[in-house]
Amino acid sequence: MGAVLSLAGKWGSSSEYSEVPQNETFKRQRMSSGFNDENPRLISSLPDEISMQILARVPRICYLSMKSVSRSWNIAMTSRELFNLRKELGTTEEWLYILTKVDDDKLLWYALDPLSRKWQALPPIPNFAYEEESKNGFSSNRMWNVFGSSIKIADIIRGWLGRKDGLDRTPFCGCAIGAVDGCLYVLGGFSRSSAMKCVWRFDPVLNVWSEVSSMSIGRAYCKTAILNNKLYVVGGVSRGLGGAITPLQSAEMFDPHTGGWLQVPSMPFSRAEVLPTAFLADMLKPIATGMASYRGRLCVAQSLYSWPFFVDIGGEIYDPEMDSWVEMPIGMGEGWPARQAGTKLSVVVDGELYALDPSSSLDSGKIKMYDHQEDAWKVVVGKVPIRDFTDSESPYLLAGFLGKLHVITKDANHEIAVLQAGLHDQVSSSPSTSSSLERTVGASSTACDSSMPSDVLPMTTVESAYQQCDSMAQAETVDWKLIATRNFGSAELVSCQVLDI
Amino acid sequence: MSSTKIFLKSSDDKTFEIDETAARASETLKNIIDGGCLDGVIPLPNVSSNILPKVIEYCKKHGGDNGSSKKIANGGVDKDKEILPDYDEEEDKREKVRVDELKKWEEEYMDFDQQVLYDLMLAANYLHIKGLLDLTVEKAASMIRGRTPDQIRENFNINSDFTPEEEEEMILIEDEWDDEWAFD
Repeated sequence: MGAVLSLAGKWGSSSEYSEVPQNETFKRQRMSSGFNDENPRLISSLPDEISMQILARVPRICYLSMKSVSRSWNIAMTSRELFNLRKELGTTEEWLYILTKVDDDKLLWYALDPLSRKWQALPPIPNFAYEEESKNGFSSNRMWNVFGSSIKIADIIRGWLGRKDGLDRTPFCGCAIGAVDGCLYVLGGFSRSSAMKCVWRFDPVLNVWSEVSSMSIGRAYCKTAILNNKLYVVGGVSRGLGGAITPLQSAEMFDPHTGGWLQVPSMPFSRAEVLPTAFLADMLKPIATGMASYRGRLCVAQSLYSWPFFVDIGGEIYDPEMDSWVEMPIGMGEGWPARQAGTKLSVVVDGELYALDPSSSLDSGKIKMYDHQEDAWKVVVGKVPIRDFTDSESPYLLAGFLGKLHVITKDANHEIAVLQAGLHDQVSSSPSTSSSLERTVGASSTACDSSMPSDVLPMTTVESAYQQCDSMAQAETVDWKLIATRNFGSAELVSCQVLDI
Repeated sequence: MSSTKIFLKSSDDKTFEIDETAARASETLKNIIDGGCLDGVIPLPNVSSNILPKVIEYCKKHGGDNGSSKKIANGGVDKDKEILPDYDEEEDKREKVRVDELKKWEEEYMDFDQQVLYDLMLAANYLHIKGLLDLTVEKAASMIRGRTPDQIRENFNINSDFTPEEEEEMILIEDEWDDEWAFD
């Protein structure tokens, strides 16, 4: 989609070369002369302007080799100029970044190039000293590794009722993940007993982590979404005076261009305000359980928690133009499938909002798409080849890239598998076809269930699951394509993001 | 109009003839023609007589047709994804034959040594011939794709200017990053 713009843009920009504002021309000239002074040309027979055109067309997976060619190549491969040119040329590539957690609760990131099917490990988030303001009463200078968000939200909720066991000993958990403007972000989380404000950014161009402006308050388990190229965080939990864990209704927004945070009106949680008794209001804590950037607004699913119970109360929607929250349509809030208690995972692909409904059966799930006209979640894929991971914190992740919906899960060999759903266009085009498809999907999966009573989809390997799915695909008009698998040992899935650079 | 001839003078003072329609494939020439200063010969001080016939050959093939040549210019991938309002299967077939033919022509056209590649790139850049620039730059990019640093240096005659210590560090970084596993 971006290719149309960028092709026109590329040619436009070079033919308007003489017409660009003077300082712009000056900058370019100075830059290229700087190249010449300090470094030899990238390719001696060509001006760097053309060499950059060449470099920008080479896939990113080759960049590591290219950095080692020479000093000037090294500089060029990590320059903004190159990545801006890729944008202009439409040669940007979408990579999937998967956050995993290993035994010792250490966070590790891996990048997958879905086209070459190659993986790369990211450098670890550096150890860092975190200085808590002394007036908060916490010890002032601590060192720690960044550890996994291993504590389930349910355990945090347990803490609200005074059973804080475990949390104090937990080094790090509950950070949120986001991606905006070509960079990954790791936000907040609990460290030992305090909720952190700090935000780490990974720049894939430079391949380094750096700390950016902190959030206004410490948050753990907050929800993130991108709207108008800005990173929004809402809710989460914090730790108040006396160590009590308090849910947050506040929201804020990070602008990657200014590098600063701005306040966003707090979520009203209007449904929580109408609780009949003060006792209930005290017992039930409102919390944001999921967020999606959909049709230009932020849709936040909300729940009331009182360990071990949780009640979904629909949600609220933030409109950036009105700068205010409204109640979420009832169908959207009630039908939004939850991955597990306290987590409503969703993904937007090509403007459509999808979520995976794990359903009652142990080794399958359904993918549902939200129909905003009918305010209803509709099944678009009747069977997803995921295994039962009730013990896992993140049994599966969802991602949208290459214009398609992807499910990331672990197969029977404990390898991480990336599966692409070949959703057919007619699914989303008209309501009538989508409902007729839903019927056929329902019928075929019932037939499938009855023919394989005890071991539906005995996944010995991903390959076999893939073949099974493939054979089902004809009945369901949904193909599952295995994009990649990789053995990460005991690493568990935590989260994932897509960057297009 | 199609028969109007234009004369181009190379850097070494040789004159070449080209149809106006073909010359319009070059944005630079198009501007000169439209500017109305077509008195005699257009001097091209940056293009030698070795390379100018090659440029003219490209323009002849691509001058006048604006639609399909763009598609092929992107290595055969239609990035614009234009959906024509009147979709015609026959037209689609003819288009396919045309694209295949053009691809074959390009293959033969692009069979030259590296110095010509550089010179063509420079000429295409100077004359603003988008399709030719795309084609040549793409060929150069294919000489980097999937190559080791040593192979890239060899292909483009580059000397590594890293110090031995830096080279060592590079290898370390590469090892660290050597989680570059092929999937299959």
